[in-house]
Amino acid sequence: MIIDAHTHINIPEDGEEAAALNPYGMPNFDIGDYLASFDANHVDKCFVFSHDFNIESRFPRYNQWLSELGNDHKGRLFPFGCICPFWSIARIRSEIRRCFESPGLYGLKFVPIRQGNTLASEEMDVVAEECERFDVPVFFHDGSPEYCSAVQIAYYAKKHPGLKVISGHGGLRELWPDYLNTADKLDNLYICLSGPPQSGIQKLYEVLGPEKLLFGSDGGIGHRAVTAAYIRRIQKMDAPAGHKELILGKNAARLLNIV
Amino acid sequence: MKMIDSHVHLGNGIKMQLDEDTLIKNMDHAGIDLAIACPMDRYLAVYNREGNEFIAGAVRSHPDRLMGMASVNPWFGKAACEELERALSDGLSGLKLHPVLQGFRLSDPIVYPLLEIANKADVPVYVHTGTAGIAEPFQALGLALDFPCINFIMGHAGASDYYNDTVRALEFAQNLYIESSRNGPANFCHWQINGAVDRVIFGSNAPEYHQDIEILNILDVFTDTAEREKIFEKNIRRAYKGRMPL
Repeated sequence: MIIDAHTHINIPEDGEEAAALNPYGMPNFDIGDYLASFDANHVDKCFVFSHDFNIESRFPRYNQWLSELGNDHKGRLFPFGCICPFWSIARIRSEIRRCFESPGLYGLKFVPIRQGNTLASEEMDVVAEECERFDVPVFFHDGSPEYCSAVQIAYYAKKHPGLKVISGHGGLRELWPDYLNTADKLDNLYICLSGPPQSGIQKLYEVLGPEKLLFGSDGGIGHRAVTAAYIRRIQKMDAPAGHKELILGKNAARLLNIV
Repeated sequence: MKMIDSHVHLGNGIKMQLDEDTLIKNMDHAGIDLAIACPMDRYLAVYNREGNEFIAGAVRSHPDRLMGMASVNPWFGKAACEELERALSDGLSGLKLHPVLQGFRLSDPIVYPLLEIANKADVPVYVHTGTAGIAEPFQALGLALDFPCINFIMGHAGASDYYNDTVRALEFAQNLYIESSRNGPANFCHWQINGAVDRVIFGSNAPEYHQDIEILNILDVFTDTAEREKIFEKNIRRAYKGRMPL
């Protein structure tokens, strides 16, 4: 079983004409195109995120759309919602509760480099408190100074030990080494390998073991080769087959309690 | 079509290791005809002469399979200039700069004396990019504009976060190329739709990445034969002004 723990989907806009091509040079996929691209790569299940983290006024509608997507594709797609850390604390609590009091969403995703927020804020503490209450993970774009470096993600996991925290890019190309001596002490921190170089993936595995690592491609709205590339990198790892199975899917299943 | 890997590291570093026999074996497996090697980690940062001599020795051992770039840390000043001149006269064919490991901003004039030597020797300069504030694509562009006769290779094409800056930088300098390592199919598509294929040069950054896997990832996106010829051979030949053993 392969679970891609990092994918994006295009959410149709209300009353806006879609561009012919998205920023990745691809047509704006519908759900059929999205599923076909993962079928082609033999991916069984996906964590799914929007790809628009800039315009906060859209987030409630996106959350509703993604929740319906999760219900329509139960057992196949596991969407994550988003809130704006600059909303009032009352509104943050209200939207998170709306997201998780009914089924469909499985966690929250943040892209601090786009949203322009620090993780060391009262608002993000409230996010952690609410997500911990619902036992859902918080997934971060990371590897980008100044808002979401690897040590900043590790800080957030340390600050909120009861919250499941996922580094979405494993620190990207240059900051992954900061997880070697932080994630080992943080049982609640998981690392998605969509980012480190091949040697970084190998080193993270050798130091941290297989249980914290997740395969993720950051694919879904781009060329399907995006997903193929990261499957190749996981398969190329110097690791026993059983450990690769954990990384390719079993760890993600355990994290979201997917049967 | 010849397959040329424009960027590999050789040596026995603290963080990485790759010996020439393993590299040649990996090249054979991946179908690579020629690789351009440079020193790695501590040999980029401090032990420049040892690193350059090691690369020059590997090139002499495999003259039909390897070329080499010298690297010197600009903080060594006059000694760095002398070592660069020595290494270039010892068979190395370009200059590699790594602002992160060598501790300078790519836009710092401290590097200019080295670029004057590269200019005089008429060799290309490879610069690491992708690190915020230290090694950004527009800093590489600044060098390319100040030294219009040098061909600059933007290492890693600004990966991860600078993919937009990277293609925009190309608009302003014809002597600027982008090297593919640390990138994947998403950015390959970005280069393709932004008309950058004439400047893309394949590099694996081995041993950080496996050459065979990175070639497959490029072939997945660039399916046109003419595009592949540019990325794997023609563009790097142009950057080196045709001075290659093949």
